[in-house]
Amino acid sequence: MQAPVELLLEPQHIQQFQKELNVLLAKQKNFGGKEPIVKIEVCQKESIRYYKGDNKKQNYLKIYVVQPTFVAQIRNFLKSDNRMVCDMELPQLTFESNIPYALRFMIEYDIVGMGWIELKDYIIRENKNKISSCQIEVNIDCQFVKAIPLDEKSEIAPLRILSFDIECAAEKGFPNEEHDPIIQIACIVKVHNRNEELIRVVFTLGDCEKIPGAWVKSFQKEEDLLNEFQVFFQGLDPDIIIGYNIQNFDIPYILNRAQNLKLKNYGKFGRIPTDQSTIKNGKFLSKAMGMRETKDINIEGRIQLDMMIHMMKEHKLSSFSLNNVSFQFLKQQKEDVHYSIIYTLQNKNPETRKRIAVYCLKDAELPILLMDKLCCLYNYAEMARVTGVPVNYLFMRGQQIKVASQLLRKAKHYDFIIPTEHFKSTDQEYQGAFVLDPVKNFYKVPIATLDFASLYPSIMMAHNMCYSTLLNTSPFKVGLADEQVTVSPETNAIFVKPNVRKGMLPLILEDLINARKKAKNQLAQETDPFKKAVLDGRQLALKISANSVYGFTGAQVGQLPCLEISASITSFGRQMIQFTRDTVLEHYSKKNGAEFDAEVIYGDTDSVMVKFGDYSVEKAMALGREAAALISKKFIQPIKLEFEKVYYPYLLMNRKRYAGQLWTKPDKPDKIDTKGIESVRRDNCFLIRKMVTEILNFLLIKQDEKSAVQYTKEQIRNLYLNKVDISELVITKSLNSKKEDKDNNNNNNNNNNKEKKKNQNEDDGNKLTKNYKQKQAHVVVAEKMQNRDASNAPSAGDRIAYIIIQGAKGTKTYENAEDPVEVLEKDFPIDFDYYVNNQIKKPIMRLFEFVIPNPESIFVGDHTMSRYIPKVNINSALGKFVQKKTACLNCKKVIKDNEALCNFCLDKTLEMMTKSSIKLQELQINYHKYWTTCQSCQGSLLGDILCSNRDCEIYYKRIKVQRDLKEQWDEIDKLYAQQQ
Amino acid sequence: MEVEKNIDTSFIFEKLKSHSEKKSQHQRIGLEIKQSTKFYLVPRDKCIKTQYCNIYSARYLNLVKRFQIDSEDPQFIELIQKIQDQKGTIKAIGTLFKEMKLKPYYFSQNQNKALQGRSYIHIQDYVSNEDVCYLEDGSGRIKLQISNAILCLPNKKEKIVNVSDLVTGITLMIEGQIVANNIIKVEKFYLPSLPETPMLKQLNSNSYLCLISGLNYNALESTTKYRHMIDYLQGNLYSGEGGDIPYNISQVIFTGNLYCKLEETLDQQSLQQDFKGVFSKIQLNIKGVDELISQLASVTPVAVMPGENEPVSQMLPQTPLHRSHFPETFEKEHQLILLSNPTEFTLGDLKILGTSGQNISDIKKCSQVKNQEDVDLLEMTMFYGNIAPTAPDTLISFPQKDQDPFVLQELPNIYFVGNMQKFGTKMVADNVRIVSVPAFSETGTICLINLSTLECFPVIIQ
Repeated sequence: MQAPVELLLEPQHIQQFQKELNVLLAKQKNFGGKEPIVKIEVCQKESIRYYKGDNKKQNYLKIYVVQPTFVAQIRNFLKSDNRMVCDMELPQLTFESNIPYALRFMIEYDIVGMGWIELKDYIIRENKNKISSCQIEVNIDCQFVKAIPLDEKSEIAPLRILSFDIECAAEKGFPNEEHDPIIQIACIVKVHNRNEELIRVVFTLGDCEKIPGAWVKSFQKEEDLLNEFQVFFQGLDPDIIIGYNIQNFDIPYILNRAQNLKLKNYGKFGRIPTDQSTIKNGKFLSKAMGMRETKDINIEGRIQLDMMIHMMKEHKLSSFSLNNVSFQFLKQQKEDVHYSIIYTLQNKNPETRKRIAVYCLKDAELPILLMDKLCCLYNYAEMARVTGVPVNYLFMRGQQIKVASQLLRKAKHYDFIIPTEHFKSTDQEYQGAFVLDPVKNFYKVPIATLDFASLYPSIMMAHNMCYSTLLNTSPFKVGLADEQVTVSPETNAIFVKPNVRKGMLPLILEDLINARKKAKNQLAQETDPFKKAVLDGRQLALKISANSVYGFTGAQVGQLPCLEISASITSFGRQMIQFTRDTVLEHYSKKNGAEFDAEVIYGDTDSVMVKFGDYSVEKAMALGREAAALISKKFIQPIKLEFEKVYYPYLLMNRKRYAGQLWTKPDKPDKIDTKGIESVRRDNCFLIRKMVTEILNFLLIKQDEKSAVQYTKEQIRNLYLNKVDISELVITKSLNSKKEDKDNNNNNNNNNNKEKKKNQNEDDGNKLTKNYKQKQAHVVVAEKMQNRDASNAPSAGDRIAYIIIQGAKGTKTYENAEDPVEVLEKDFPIDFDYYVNNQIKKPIMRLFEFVIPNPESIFVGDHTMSRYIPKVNINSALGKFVQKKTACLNCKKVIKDNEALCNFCLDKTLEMMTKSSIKLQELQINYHKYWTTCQSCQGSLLGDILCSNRDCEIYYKRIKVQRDLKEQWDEIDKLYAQQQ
Repeated sequence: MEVEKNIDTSFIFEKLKSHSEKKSQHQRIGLEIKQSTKFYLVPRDKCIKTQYCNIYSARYLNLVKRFQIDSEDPQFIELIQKIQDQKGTIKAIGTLFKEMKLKPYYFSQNQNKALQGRSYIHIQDYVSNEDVCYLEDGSGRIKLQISNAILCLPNKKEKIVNVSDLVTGITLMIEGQIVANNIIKVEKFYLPSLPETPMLKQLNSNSYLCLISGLNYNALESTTKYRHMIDYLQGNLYSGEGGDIPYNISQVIFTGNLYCKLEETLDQQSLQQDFKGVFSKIQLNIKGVDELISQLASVTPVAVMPGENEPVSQMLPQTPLHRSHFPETFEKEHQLILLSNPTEFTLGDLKILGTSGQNISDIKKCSQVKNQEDVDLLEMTMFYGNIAPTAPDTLISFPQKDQDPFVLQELPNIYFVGNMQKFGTKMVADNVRIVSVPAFSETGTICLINLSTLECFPVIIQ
């Protein structure tokens, strides 16, 4: 804190001050009888906020306390009204008083997360004195801890990685910790940087057959299983624990189970044997994931890396089930055994329990494969090194702490200190990035894209924007001339130029960008795959870090918000985009001798799309390059406009919604690039994704609009004729917990207004709409499934797949949602109109809006006329009143049940038989293909396929083909029989 | 015989027929075909929900008994899962699974589709260098390292094999070293022992079985060669040495692919629109074949098996063709027997087993045996104890509940496979004749087997 002016800085005064402060503190807060403050030092520092003139260092008091927790207590004391010490009123504002202790220590000694340190003059503790289960413990004075710079030692230590997965058996529904036992725990151990796995172990409840390649340990009591797992865990002493959804499911389940079983001394998973791992419920707010409920489990000295959380943070996917994730990234479909089947398997015999074990092992193996494939460990390690935070902060905390860590390190170097401010939630908003209105059209000429490389970081560097360079008064008051400052457009914030004082943030950014350049150069030269992965992780971490600095200044509930900076950055950005547009329009005009008048058709945040004219791709590239160089010159270093790519053709539909064929070389296109298009959203059924992709192929690659229209019409026709595969029509949504449903319903009745707000908040968090007054299709389906078979009913968190079927007139859509398996088995008619009008129409119309004059026309015409007329279904409401009759295959005349043809059509037997056989053959081929694919996917020839992975399209096809084949074959049998 | 232009050919046929009938009546020995029920399908209601794994289990249980094991042998592990308790050399029995990267699984096909736009290239050959073999029994699966391993055949001979020689579905005993967790370096493979050799009863007189495969009849092309064949079989074409053979044929068997392959591939989409046109072609072929068989059946007993090209169920075992495919033949009440594919029957006292060729073609797709003679592949399936090891993995077949019909329970006297590339024949064991019957449309070859001596030879009809 700032030293009170009245305080005399003589040592005896300081000591007196310390004493009195201690007394006062002891009165107000509980320090367990200790004197909290051990030392107070006076130092010369400057607050990082605002440029206050040259060398305005002031006296600050650096307060040392006995225990880290006391820092917060003293800080809180200073916030109170009664803060008089020695008749002096202490300042409320403290500095750097909210930094986690570990980080504080690391900053003081320049240690970074996942970095190496060197110890000197230490004493190794004897075993009996050890307080942890670490192999070596030392006593050392902190001044002998020395960080080793990264360029001297950059490899990652051979960390022991444990991946595990548990299986629980629940008779009904989703496993509940109170009564459903853990039946298996599968563990896979690997050492980082080594290819082969060390061991695979599976702990099972009840005897289990052996599994080649894995150790099976069976127990008769769950207590023994859990105890043995703990013994194994402690003996193994892993550095990293990974798994899929372990943080919110597996680990809490183990701990809660142990509690319910009243196991003593359980939960010692950390490296401090006296510490028991406990679960803390928390909420985690991050921009990337929204608000989520999380569980924090303290496992001292080990890193918990939950791959599910990682995937949710880093990737946008339609589903985060392990099946889908592994299909996307590992190209492996994974068998999905429903938890209701697990119960049955568990209670049968050692053979079936082995089946679970194999499955469980697979689930433990996939996170490891994913981690390797995605270079997670490298990326996290490099991120920790670049930003300097301990690696576990990266999982537990958001972006802010990373920037804060860098800022603290930099500030320390320049004698700046950072105020610990209270959160002020302001509703103040500032204008965001600039979007040049798109000139929507389908462009059949090359469109060049000019990008500002790392726009925001380069603006901050160019204009020297920092807390420490911002003026809160006019320049002359701090003795500066106008040319020594930069004034931002629109926001009119004033920053001093770098020759007056270099800002901290620009310095950090410069470091990051230089380091990235260096890493990229090294990467280009490196041949060792492990080192390559490290370097690639590093350059990526550097890029992300540079970009997050802007966010740090703009985060309103952040550590050190400064809207002047963030608003000014965007205002510079807007100005630059406009300037770029104006320059392009001016320079490339007929007036200035160009062949065509250039047009800027769209611009967003950091890029501008230019239509130079009707040139070749090659020429457009040359012009793009030229324009980028020309404009770059007019900006201050290091701002740089770059030419990267040409789109040709280019379909611009709206803001942030476009598609085009991307070219980076003039000779051949790279790929199709899309943004904001319905090819990935999970709410959509597969049919749309398929159609959009196909249509774009027609429009952009083949440039054949007629075929695109024809294709679309054909698909609509097929849909109406029931020729679209049912798996393409499945819509999925995830179900929230039933308890929540009930709670919300009650609350809704009691207190409508309040709840609405709460609901909204939750909605934002879960990215789900929950309006319980209007039921939702997937909730209805879940209820139907519950009523049919309670043991197989879905639970909270499950993704519910459904299909909209035809219902009676006037019924709501949600009432007509049905489980796809049920649709298949009972042959319910699908509501094609719903699919055409509510699912397909909008996205398709958007695609064609600028391509053909009247896109509506795609949805009218002959192809919508012929409809599939469903057989009257004995399962439908109407069907109950209808008697099923058999009709002649040829003339549809009513005939006897065991006949295929009527007497008049008997001479058509051969024709009908041939036709029927051709259908049969196709079904047989599909049957064979689907079932052998699943057989091979499950990894055994001799085991039944149990998989019910609803994310996998084959699941529905497999069931459908079974039924279709039987029907078709029965038809042929009748034909055969009738003419014996 | 005078043949003038513009003379109605059916008149000539009538004449020829009456001529040959006279000759055959007293010379041909009637032998009765008795089909076994082995390749008849169980009622579908019970089976359609059955999964393919049951075939593998049935196969394993059936064949495991046929290995010679010394139960005292410490190297032998009864179940693969017990491999953990072992070190060094082990022996184990299991079913082979070859993981093939190029195999057209559902997903790989989709991926190919995505790569090649809309033109999906059909892969004819699934073999690649990345293929890996596993050995599996009910208790687990182990990975095999195979490099020039020795395959010990039941006839005491040995062969050097590599991954590319093997196919999924063979039941084997391995002998090899544990080289890593769950990986065995195979030194030797053993095959199950052959079932007992069958008896061969001498017949009183010379009598022949005639095998014809792959007519691939196409009404739009010249059908002369078929008429020549009929002429020959009726004894009208050839005189000289062996000229009396046709009169001694007691049974003709057509082993699949009577009709030529459809050029059009019809799926559910195009079936409605294009069916009539395609059917008119099919109908011509069906009629043509019916006429041929009707003529032949008037002089000698005929049996037909369906094959890959026939418009009937494709899953093995294939159900027989139907009466309505041979309206003329049946109308004239000729002796025509409709067989399944594969088929197993007794002809007199001889046990006969045959297929229309899909089993061997599929093995060719899955292994690098192209330079081997077809008849050697036939022999290998005898040694495997299973005539269709790749079913159901790559060979489309019916999901059986508790049996694997393709397992050889007993050795037949004659085992023939139709629609092969080349004629070939061998005696596999005493009284066991195997024949690879080449497609008639390609080679003009028919095969004759002397039922007394099992002597076998081709006759080429130009």
